[in-house]
Order: sequence, then structure tokens, then C-alpha cells
Amino acid sequence: MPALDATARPAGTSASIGIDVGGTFTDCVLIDETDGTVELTKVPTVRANPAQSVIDGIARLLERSRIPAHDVRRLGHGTTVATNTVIEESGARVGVLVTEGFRDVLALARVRFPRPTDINGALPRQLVSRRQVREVRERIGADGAVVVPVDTAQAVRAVGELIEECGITALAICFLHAYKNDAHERAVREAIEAAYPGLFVSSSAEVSPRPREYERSLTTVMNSYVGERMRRYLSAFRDEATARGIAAPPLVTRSNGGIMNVDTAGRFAVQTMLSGPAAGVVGALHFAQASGFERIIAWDMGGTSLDVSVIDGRLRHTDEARIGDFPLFIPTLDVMSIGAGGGSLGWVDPSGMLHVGPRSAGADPGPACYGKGGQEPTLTDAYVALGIIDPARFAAGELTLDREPALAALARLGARLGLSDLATAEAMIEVATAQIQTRFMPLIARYGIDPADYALFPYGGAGPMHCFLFARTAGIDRVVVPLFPGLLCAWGTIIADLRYEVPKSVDINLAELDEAAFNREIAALDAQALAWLLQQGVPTTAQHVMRLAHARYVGQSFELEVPLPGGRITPAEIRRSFVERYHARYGYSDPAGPIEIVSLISQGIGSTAKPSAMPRLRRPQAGARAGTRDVHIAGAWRTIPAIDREALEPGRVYQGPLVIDQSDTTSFVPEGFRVSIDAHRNIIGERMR
Amino acid sequence: MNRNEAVFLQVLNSRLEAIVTELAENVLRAAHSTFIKETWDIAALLMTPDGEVFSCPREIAAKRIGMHLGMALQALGAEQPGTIAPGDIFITNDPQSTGGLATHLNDMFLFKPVFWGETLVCFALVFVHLSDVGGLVPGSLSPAAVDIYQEGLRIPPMHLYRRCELVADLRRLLLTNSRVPAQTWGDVTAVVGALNVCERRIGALAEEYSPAEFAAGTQRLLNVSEQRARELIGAIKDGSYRFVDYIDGLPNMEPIRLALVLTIAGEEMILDFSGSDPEVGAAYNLYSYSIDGHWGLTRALADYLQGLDPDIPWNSGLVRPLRIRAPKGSVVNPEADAACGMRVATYFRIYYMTFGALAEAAPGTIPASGPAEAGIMLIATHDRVTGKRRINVGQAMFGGSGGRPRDDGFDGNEMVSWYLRNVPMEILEQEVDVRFLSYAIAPGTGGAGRFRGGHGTRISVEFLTPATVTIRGLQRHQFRAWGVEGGTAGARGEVHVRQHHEGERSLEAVTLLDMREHDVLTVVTPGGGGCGDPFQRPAEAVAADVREGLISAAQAQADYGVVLAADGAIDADRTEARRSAPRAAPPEIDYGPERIEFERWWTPALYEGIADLLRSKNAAERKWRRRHLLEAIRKRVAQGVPTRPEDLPHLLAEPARGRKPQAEYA
Repeated sequence: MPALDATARPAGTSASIGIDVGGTFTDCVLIDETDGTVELTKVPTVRANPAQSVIDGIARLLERSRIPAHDVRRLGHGTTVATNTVIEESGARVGVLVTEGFRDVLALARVRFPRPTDINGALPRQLVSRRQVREVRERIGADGAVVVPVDTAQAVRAVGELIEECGITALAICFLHAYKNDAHERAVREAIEAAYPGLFVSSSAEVSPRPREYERSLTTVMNSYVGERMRRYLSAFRDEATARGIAAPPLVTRSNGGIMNVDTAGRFAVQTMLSGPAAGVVGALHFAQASGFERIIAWDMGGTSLDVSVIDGRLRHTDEARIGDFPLFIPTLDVMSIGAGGGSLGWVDPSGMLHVGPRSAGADPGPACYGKGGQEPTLTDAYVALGIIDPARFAAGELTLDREPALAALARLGARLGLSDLATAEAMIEVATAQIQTRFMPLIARYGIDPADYALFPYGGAGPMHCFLFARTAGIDRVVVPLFPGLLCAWGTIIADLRYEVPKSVDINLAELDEAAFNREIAALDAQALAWLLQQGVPTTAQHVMRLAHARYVGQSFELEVPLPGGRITPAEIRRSFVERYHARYGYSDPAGPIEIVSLISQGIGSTAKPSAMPRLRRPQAGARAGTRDVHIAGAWRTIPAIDREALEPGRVYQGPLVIDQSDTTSFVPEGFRVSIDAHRNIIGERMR
Repeated sequence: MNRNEAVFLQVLNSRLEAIVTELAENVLRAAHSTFIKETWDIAALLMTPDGEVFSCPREIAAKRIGMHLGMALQALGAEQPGTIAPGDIFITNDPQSTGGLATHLNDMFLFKPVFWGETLVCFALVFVHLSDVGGLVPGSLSPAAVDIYQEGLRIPPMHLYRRCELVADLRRLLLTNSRVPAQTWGDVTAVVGALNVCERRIGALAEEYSPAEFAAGTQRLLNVSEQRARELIGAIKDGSYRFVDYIDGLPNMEPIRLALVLTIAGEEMILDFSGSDPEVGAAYNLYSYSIDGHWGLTRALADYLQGLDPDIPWNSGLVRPLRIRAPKGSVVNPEADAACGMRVATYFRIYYMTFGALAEAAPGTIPASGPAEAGIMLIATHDRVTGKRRINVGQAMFGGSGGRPRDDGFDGNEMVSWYLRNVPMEILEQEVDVRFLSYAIAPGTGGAGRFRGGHGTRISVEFLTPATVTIRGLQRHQFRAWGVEGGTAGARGEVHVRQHHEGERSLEAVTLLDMREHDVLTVVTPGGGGCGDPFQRPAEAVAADVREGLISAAQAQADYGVVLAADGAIDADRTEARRSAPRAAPPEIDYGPERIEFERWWTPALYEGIADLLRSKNAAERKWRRRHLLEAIRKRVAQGVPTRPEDLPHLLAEPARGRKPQAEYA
């Protein structure tokens, strides 16, 4: 993309940089904090060496903005190293120590099948083989009391064997009930670190201190699986940034929507998983709130997946996130992923029905229009063929698209359906919209909300292209396209706060709650959370804590996350908060029903300095166009308005169909919608009834 | 299929799937009982005005296609104008008046007609497994129930809402008959709410489709699925394929024999259950009413067809080519009043029997048998403080799945019980005064094969306080899960106890165990059968299994012909010698020695002889005479005296000495 403004700058200014490493592109954004102007760039992600893409991106930002490296006071960074390591199964060989009698907790998992009707379904993947798991004589009871003392000598011997026989380079210690009492895990860890100082060791109470042995153990194993690689990556990255004169310590985004320093990220690499989508949601929330929208469905559609998140004024967390087939048992921003994106492939099943996705052309060969040998048509090919995307202005000009191979691929698929190339393109878009809804509605149902009460908030490269069509199908009347749909994930890395949860598993019947002891307990958790923030270098003035309880009606097996007030807490307040949440989620509640609390969480939040201005573009560029384009709609070519985003006039209402071009995406507004821009330069789309 | 048709149907199908999956999710979210939330024991379906399923979720509650509303509508008198109106919601759990839509009383069905203007366009239907509907025992499910009246309240199809108005009398009746009324009403309310949302969603489709287009579209979706199913069936070799298997009955009861002849005739399949045992005086009867495509009898075929074509539209069109012949009065089509609470054991077994029959018809495409065990351990204790009785689910226990044509079986779970999950031990130990001593794979329990059967699990639990323990749903403790195409049968399940400071002893079956402090109960679940000749399993894979501790070196040598050196390396020469030595061809199906021994005495001819002899008697007489005959034969078996069919008339004439008539198996 061309620099928005490249004139000389006053001295002593400061800037923030945010980087989001995606599967196809690495998005980079720099904001000049004196006036809020931004510099954007996209560089192709080098899968083999993602640090290179990040460094290249930073260099380009600095060069174009002419901001000296030492003026960068914040460097936020989302990494997919950990996630890719798990997905590509390229992690360390991990040994696991478990409680005697429980060698197969990881192998047996929770036993439910992922694909119930598929008799040929694949066996569940395992990160460690059974041979890499050894039992240690020890046992902690459910109350935290020692039942069988730990045999550390045996544990050390077992690790010696694991190194000898299996060649392990990392270790996970996962003992039963360690979340309640981690003395055995600590003792074993100390003995092993003394005996084998080079080994990367994680213990379960440290990585994920909550009950549920399978989920906790697996998360601990994942941490060891990716840990060493993450450490190497981060230290190379830090060295490179320093070498380029950036003094600001790099920060790494977390799956909970927060950030952490690189040392912490190296020890708890598992915390970076799913941090990309989480940063996007943080960015979306920030933009939406700044523009006055409280209830949005964040709709991030990229090349391979569509990440959906419901936001009503706060971030929602879940502990049921998954990486592929594996549960991720740490607090994670609640983002649901659907296998649909610009790269989704069209295909025909044996019954003759057309499908789109979930298989994707990925970055290589990519869609047919990339001209890199892709033979099957993708959604992006359909947009290009129909004229919705202008091939000359795709991905900030980083890629030139070619319409001919797209048409050829569509024609090949169309032959199987008896459809022309263009009719196939329209059919793919229609089917993709319906199939997205098939996945979307049930996911949304889990929240107990009606999407009609929310505005759709699209971002990612393909989001604005498809969201209006989807809104129409899903009965959503309002669409808000933010100013920079392509940079929200990178933006999230700039504005995220430091966040750290200190959970404690408890067993409290609300009716028998000892108020004084309870308040002492939660204050102790607060202190731990604040200590973490201090260690991350957050000044006391920027620290605060948020408290949460996981509670349920007595006898239930599932809990609800309930926010607790600060200061001294009374049982009545807890009850009120629980009943309110319960009602919102399940549609009914029992105001007097017995309630139990199973865990307490104190979340330390270290507010970071945010850019003082919202990002903005300069006045319309000289080259901003308001012209027309031929777009194929409902079986015929039509000449419709094609307007550059910078050329949209405030106060004016535009009726669909039209396309709105900007460097990082195109918004396609079909018939039945009208759009205008608001004071924050968001595109506001409304369905006409 | 013409051009626009493919797109039109796929878009319609996707929209319907969105709506029906949302319906299921809404029920799960709002339901009160843990059982529903944890086990997903529900259905959510969209049905044509005639009662055929045109849309069903693919993941949650996926295995419900083939349910049919027709008989329930008849029972309602739906053909009378005005019987069915907008705002109505109907409720039923009665197998008899719904013609086998409901198959046991815990499954409460609610369905709502959806109108566009005056036109009935479809029904939305949900069932949830209610935790208690009255009857003999808490939870309403007892294998020992002798008739359906012992299993709870029966509700024929009735209005629960009449034109949006709750029928309060019916609610009172329902709740009066449940041990957990608040929870029951919470679950029913969840369903009502979800049905109302669903009605709205379908209503929104009226913007795009006329009622006639919608009706035609749903029919065409059914046709696409039927057509595809017919093509797939047409490609299977015609013929009739016989398969017999047994389910473990109650203690002191003969195993229940199920017989199936699967006939493939062109593009149709006929499942004929003639020769299956008469209905039993225990809760294993499956109300199918011999309805074509009945969901309880066609699950395996639906899975099989979907396995061949994962994208086939998931609706009842798939089961249209599947005909059922289930003789009246048999365990798969009982007379009215038969007990049915535990019918899950029966349809789980039929699931694998169908594969067994297909093994011959479509070699190389079907898995070996899993044990079809879904063992649920219930632990009753008294709260240390309050003294109140508490009942907890101790753990759900599953066997290993059968080896599959292209891959090994799953360890510790199988196809039929895919939806159940285990409970984390850390959670259980907080809730119940027990301590688990082990939860692990039971090595060597899976059958040997080119593709190995999944292993069972070993669960060992110590009681920290006195407790009463029951386990329901244990299977394959008598006969093994069979292997196929040269694979061997899996190991049987085992139960051991160490009670009152005595040594460990094995139990044949578990009814009620009285456990004291520090007593230990160990359950080893059965393994799945193997698939394919074990000598064809790559030696490296066998050696890896030994290295991983999943089979022993002795098993590697005996079952797989793979000889390992002391360090675990393959002894190539001796392996080659062993594997190429002449040996008897393995049987097509390996049932294991216990069943072969049993069938030496209980021959197919003998079973047929019993059926022939009793055919002329009325149902009641047939029942008690059959019992009498079986007892006499069992005595002879114990004495080592074989029984031939020609001995039967003589045995029948023998007076039953010294025994009072008693309730069947009670």
C-alpha cells in the first residue's frame, strides 16, 4: 500500500508497532501517536522462518513512515509458532510423568468420538506415545492431602530412562490433584532440574492449575512440546529487534486477549495459542466501542477460516477451546472457528450437490487467480470472476490477480453441474453463505442470544466481501465495516493489556460460606496477580484486578463464570451475580437454589499506554476514485458504483448494489442494503425493509 | 439432477441443517439435567407433515434418522380437521401408541406443527432422555422390570400446549409421577423454548419459499438421499446373509439370542429377524413394530452408507430402501406391555450384527465387532454429615472398538457409545468418597488382526466409605466381541472385588455390591475384535505395540507370528519362518471359544426346534413353557447330556417338579 503520508516528522514523537503473523500474510501496522496516522503493510508469511517476515515488515514500516527505530515505544506481536508446531506435529519429544495407575489418561482422553457417524474416522492423534509416559509412585487426595508420599528418586530414574530410550528433550509432570497441592510436582521438578539441567520442564499445576486430569495434563504436555522452539524463536526475534535499534521490549499476545513479555511467553508458550484471533477480537472491541457499538458479532474471515465472536461490551472467555483435536485448558477468548474463507474450494459430491470448503487452497498454490498453479476454484476466484474484486488492487497490491485461470477453474467445476463459469461463481457464493449459516447458527445458539439483536462487524480480507450476503441470510439488519478491516488483529497487539489469571480450585457451598476466610482467600489471589504484573514491569498505578468465580447450582456438573465485585464480597452479592448470569445464559433460574463455588480467579490487568489517537487516514487521496465497475449479479452483468473508501462522502447514503474498494479489502454491498459512513468513518450498512 | 436444482437443494439443505442443529443446541443449553448435557441423549428433527425426517443434525444427536411420526399422528387422530393447530405442542413417551417412535419411557418426545398461514409445512420434534419417569427404581431403568408398567408413566400422544395454552392438568400428572419433578419440568421447558425458536426460524424461510416449493424441496432432498442410498446398495453383491449373536441377559438367564438374515436384493435391503428369541420378561425388548427403516434397527446401515459417502444428505431418504421383518412377539417386536428400559443392549448388538451380515456381502469394508458395552456404575452412599442418601454416577465404562478395514480400533470406546464421555476422576473424587487406583488401557484385550481391535480399560476404585454399587449395561462378559476376515475375537470383560479384607475374587455378573471402607472394585472392559489376518500385520507395527506395552511379546509370537529378540528387535528369520509355516485358515468370523462351546449344546437346530414346538401355543403359554424347556435343557447341559430337537416333546411333557410359578426373572 502506498504510504499515507511520507513527509518529514517532528522530532521526539513516538510510535507503536503491531504485527500479526497469519497463515498467508503477516500484517503489520504502525501508528504515529502524534496524529494517529497509520502505516500498513502486508508481507508474505515465510512458513519456514516467520521471524523473517516480522523483521521485514518492521523494516518496511519504519522506512515508509520515516520514523526512527528508537521512537518505537511499543512492539506488540502475535505469533503462530506454537500453534503451527502442534498442527504440523513438529514439536519436541516429550516425556511425561504421571501418578502410578494412570498411565493412559492422555491416550483415553474423554473417549467421546469427534465424528460419530464415520466408521472410518481417524484414530485420535497423540502428541506422545505410550512409551513416553512413566508412572511415579505418589498420590495426592481430592482434598489435597498426601495419600502416598512421592518417590523422587524413582522419578529421576524414570527420566533417565526416557532420555536414554526415547530421546526426550522436554518433560511434562502431571500428577493427580496437583491443582490442589503441587508439593509433589515441585519436588520432582527440582530433583529433575538438578539432575538434567538442559531439559525443558513444565508441571501441570503451573501451566493449568484446575481440576480435570486429561485436559490439564494435555495442556502441560503441549507446553513442553512447543516450549523450546518458542524460546528459540523469541530470543532470535528479540535480538533482531534490538539490533535494529528498537529499544521497546517486545510483547507477545496471549490466548486470553492479553499480552506478556517474552520471558513469560518462553516458559508458557501454550498461552500464545489462538492468540491471533484473540488479538483480533481485542482490536474489534476497541474499534467498536470507540465508535459506540456495544453489541457486535465479530466476523473475521480470512483465507482459510472464519472466526466468530460475540461481544457485548466485554471479552468472553472459555476454557473449552481446541487446537485441532486437542483441548486447550487455559482461559481463552471465546472465538469460534468455521472452515470458510477466501481460499475455500468448491467441489461436487457424489449426489451431485455443490459444496464450498472446508478444504482450502491455502497460500500455496492458493486460489487459481494467484496464478501459482491452483486448479480448483475458490471463493476468491468467484469474487474475481464476478468483478467484485478488482484484480489489480488486491492485498495492498502485494499480489496481482489473474482473472483467466479463475474463470477456467470455475468452468471446470461448472461442467459437472451443467453451469457456466459465471453461474458457478454465483452458485459458490450462494452455497458458501448457506453453509456458513449451517455452522454459525448452532454456535451462536450456545450463547442464548438472537443474532438479530447484534450488528455484524466484519474484518479480515474476505469479511467485508461476504458479510452483507450473510447478514441477509441470517436475518441481521446491521453491518459495521471498520475503517481498517485488514489490520484489526495487528491493532489488537498494540492495544492489548497485560492479563494474568490466578485460579484457585475451591469447594464452597454458598450457604456455608465463611465470609472472612473467603475474603482473605481472594485477597491472596489478588496479591499473586499483582505480583505477576510487577514482574512484567507494570507500574502499580496501571494495575488492577478483576475477580471471577466459577459457580453452579449444587448437583450440576457444569459451571458458569460469574464476575465478582472488588473490595469486600458478601454471599448475597455472589448469589445475585450468579442468578443474573444464569438467567441470561439459560433463560431461567432459581433465585433461591443452593449454589456452590468450584473455583476463584483473580485476573490481574496491567493497563498499557494506548495510542492517544484512534488511527485515521489523511484527507481523501488525490487518486481516490468514485467510478463504476461491471459486476455479474443474478445472472447478468450490471454496471454498479465502485467507490474508493476514502472517497465516500460523509452524510451521503449509498444504495446497494455497489462495491467499496480499499487497500486491504473490498466491501460488496448487495441490493437491499444502504450504506453511509459515520463520524468514525465506519461504513454503516442497513437492511432496507 | 438438473443445474439449478443442485444449488437450490444444497442451499435449502444447509439452511434446514442450520435450523435443526440450532434446535439441538438450544435444548442442550437450556436443559436442566446433567445427563442430557453430558451424554447428549436427545433428538432434534424436522419432519414432513407425513412424519418423515427431512433434516437431522450431523454431529449432536446424529443417529436419529429413521424415526417416523406417522403412527403418533394417527394415534392423535390427526386426520380430523382441527386436531392439529398453530401453537400446539404434543407430548408422548409411549412405544405402543407411537408405533415404536418411542422405545422406552425415559425418552420424552415433544413435537410442534409449523404452519405458514393455514398450511402445515412440517413438524419440529425433540426428545430428551428424562432422568426419571417413575417406575421401580430411581432413574426408571431396571433390567429386571418384567413389564412396561414397572418402568414409569406412559403418555400416549397428547396436547401439552393447545394453541399456545399449557394443559396444566397434564403437567401435574407428569410431575406427580417423577422422583425429580423440578428437573423434569426444567427439561421439558427447555424443549418447549427450543421448539418455539425453531418454529420462528422455519417461519423466516417463508420469505423465500412458498409452501408448495418448501414441500417439494424437502421431498426432493429425501429423494436425493434415497437415490444415492439405492446406488450404494445396488453396488453390493445380492444375496442373503445370516448372522446370529447374543446379548448377556440377567444373571441366571440364558443369553438372549438374536438372529438376522440380511437380504440384498437390487437396490433394497431386507433385515429379517425371524429366529430371534421371543420377547423376554426383562427390560431388553425393542419396540420396532417392524416399521420399515426403524431407527433402532437401521443405525448400522445408515452409518455404513454414510461411511461410503460422507456427504449423502442426512435424512430418512437414506433408510427408505431398508425393509424390516421383525416377527410379532419377538424381542425385536414385542407385544404390548413388554418391558423395554434396557433395549439399548439389543439395538447396540443389532448394530454390530448388521456389520457381521455385511461382512460376507461386502468384504473388506466392515469393522469387527465392538463389545457394545456402555457400563454405568452407580454408587449410593450416605453423606457423612447429613446422613442423606446420595447417588452418583461412578464412571461410564466402555470396551474397545472393533478393528476396521483400514485402521485399528479405538481403545476404550466404540461406535455405539460415541456420544458418552467419561467423568474426570478429579471431579468424581471430589463428589464421591472413592479413590481411583487405576484408569488405564488393559493391554492385550483387543482382538488380534491386520487391524487390531481396540483395547478395553481397567478401572479400579477403592471405597472410602460404605457404599452400595450397581453396574448396568455390562456386556460381553459371556461371549467375546467377534473378529472378522481372520481377525480374532477380543477378550471378555471381567469384574473383580476385594471385599472385607479378603483376597480378590471374580464375579460373573454384578447386581448389587455391598462395599465397605477400603474395599476395591475392579472392572476390565472387553476388547474389540480384530479385522483381517494378524499374520498380515506388518511386523514393525507388532513390534511397536510390544514396545508401547499394548501387547506382550508372547502375544506377538502366538497371535501375530512375530518373534522378537530380548531387546525388542524383530527376529526376521524366525518371524518369516513362523509366518510362512502352514496353518489352518482362520474362520471368516471368530466368535471365541466360549460361544463355540455354548453352541455345542445350544445348537441352532435346538433353537429352531423350540420355536417349532411352541408355535401353536398362545403367547402366555408359550412364555412359561419356553422357560420350562430352557431350564430343563440347562440342567442337562450341566450334567453333560446333549439335547437334540427330537428330545424336546419329551422334555415339554415332564412336569415342573417342586417349583412354584414366580414372576419372570424378578
